[in-house]
Amino acid sequence: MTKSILIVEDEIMLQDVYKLVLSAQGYKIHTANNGAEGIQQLKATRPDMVLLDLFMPVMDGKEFLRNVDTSDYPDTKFVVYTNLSDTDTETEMLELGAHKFVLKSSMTPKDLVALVKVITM
Amino acid sequence: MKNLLALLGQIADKSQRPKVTRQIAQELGAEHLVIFIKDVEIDVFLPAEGFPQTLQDFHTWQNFLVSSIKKKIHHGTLPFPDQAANHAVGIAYKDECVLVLLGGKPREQKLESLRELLPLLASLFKHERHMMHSEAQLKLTDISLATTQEMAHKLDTTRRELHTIVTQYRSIFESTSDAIMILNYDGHLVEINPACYRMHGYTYKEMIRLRVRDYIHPDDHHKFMEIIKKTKAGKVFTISGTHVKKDGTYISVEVVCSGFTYKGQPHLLAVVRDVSQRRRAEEALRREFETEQRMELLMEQRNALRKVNKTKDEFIALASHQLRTPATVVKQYIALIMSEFAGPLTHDQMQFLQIAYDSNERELSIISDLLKTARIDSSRYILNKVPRDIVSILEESVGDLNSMYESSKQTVVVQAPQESIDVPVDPIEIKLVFMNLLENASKYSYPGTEINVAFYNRGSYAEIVIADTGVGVDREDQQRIFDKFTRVDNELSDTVSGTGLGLYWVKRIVEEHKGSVRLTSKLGRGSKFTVRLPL
Repeated sequence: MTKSILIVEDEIMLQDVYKLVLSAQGYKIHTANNGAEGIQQLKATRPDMVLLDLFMPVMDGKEFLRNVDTSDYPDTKFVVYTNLSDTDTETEMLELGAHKFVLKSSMTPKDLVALVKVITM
Repeated sequence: MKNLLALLGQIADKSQRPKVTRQIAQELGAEHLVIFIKDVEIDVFLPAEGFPQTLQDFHTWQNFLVSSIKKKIHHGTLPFPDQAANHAVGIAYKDECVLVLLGGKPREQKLESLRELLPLLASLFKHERHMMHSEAQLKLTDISLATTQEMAHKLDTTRRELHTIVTQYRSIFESTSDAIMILNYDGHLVEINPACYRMHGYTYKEMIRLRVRDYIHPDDHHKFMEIIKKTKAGKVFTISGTHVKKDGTYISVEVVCSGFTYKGQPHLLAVVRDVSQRRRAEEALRREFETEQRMELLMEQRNALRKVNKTKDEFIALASHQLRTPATVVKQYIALIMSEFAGPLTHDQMQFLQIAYDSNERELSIISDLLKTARIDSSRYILNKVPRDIVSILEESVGDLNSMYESSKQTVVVQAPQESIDVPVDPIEIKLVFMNLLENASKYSYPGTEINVAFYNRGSYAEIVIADTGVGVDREDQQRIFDKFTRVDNELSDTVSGTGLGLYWVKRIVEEHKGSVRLTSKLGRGSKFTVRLPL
């Protein structure tokens, strides 16, 4: 079955490269530009993985996870994919139901693919 | 004669006198008899006691009596109540007594015998008169004695009252704690109370001789001149100033001055109060108030700083996203191309892209370092300490840097006791410390050299030593290298990449653990970093 990934990210250029690389790997990609859109897409698509950015307009990543009961989505892995390197936030996000907290500036497209493969295994 | 004598004998009795004298007069052939005695004090003849006292025409009688004295026996006419009896005969004894017979026809013979008895009569009445005078005088004396006594008593009472009042005023003068000075307008001290000379540290004798300039602060001398003018004009007023004590110390004073009359002359009255204590209390209050104000200011500043810090922390959070985003985008797309996702690349294209990629990576690294420093410096930097086996963290760090050591052909030797002990540390931060020190050891050592890592349990603290035999650090630079953004120039420094923050982090993190880091080094011989962490 085709695995789907929801990319919640406001930076379009990043959105594009992730979409490019991951769809080339055969994943179905859905995108959202902010947390609010993200929740809509989450409900609609029930993806296998969510790549969640933190700093977004309208609704940020923190609010997204606060407004989402991750137990409603047992098959979805929520991965915080951000440039904010802050241990307090990391802890908070993991407590809110995030599966992993990744610094995106440390990841190349290849690294991303590897990460996604491992998580959606 | 016998009758006469008998009658005369009865005359001494005052109660019988009027009757007896009439009888005597008739015996002598007259109607009335009046005996006059001279009052020596006023030089006037006055009727003796028991005889009619008020006679008409005083002068006529006096003249008659005087004539009687002169002539010894004198005949005349005198005004008398019994008008029929105005023919008078006066018979005098010496110049003291005159017997006057009035009316009738006194016989000469009888008068002669009377004359023989006159001395007796005179003596009797004189004596009587004298007694009366004495009695009167005694009475007067008594009265005056009583009056004198009363007066003396009153005087005594008054004196005592006065004494009490004076004593009271004097005691006020003596015992008041306010200094009282009385000066004349020449500036001399005329009177001073104990409070005054004590306040100034002098004895009475010492101070009473002083002039104004001796006990008033030089800056206040002009004030004294003003006082003279003002009080002469009749005003009372208060001024503040400074007086000088015998020992030269100053006292703050408040002086109330007024002009007044003392011993009949205009003088200056000054009441001086030592307000040093009050001034000191005021000073203390003012300082307290100032301190309060300063505290308020400090609180404001602290709140402002807190705001700034909060703003800074927010900035850090925002910056880490904002700064990294463009670089992340570049990284993704270069990596994508380099993976030949968009088609094959020539060797040159690959090389160029690699350079661009590396540069971008360097930028990301710098951004990370800056953000790390900002976080360490921020008030929100807190360690999450847990007891950890330090040696395993050391070994882990060494392992992470394996490729680095390999490429430099350097070896790392780790010395540790058999029994591992746990040290309360923040594992992530402490690992960063070791990583930095180990990296430096490698970077600043030559290829083929050995790096020593040792762990010691010193009882109250753990000691970790990382030593190399590399370029070493000059004495001058040994303190500086722990500073932010400081990199020391040496043989190998050009080949080393870094922001100059590593050792700053080491120092901050170790100190945050309440530990210490020391550098022992000799230029050209190598460096030894000793980290101590409390257990």
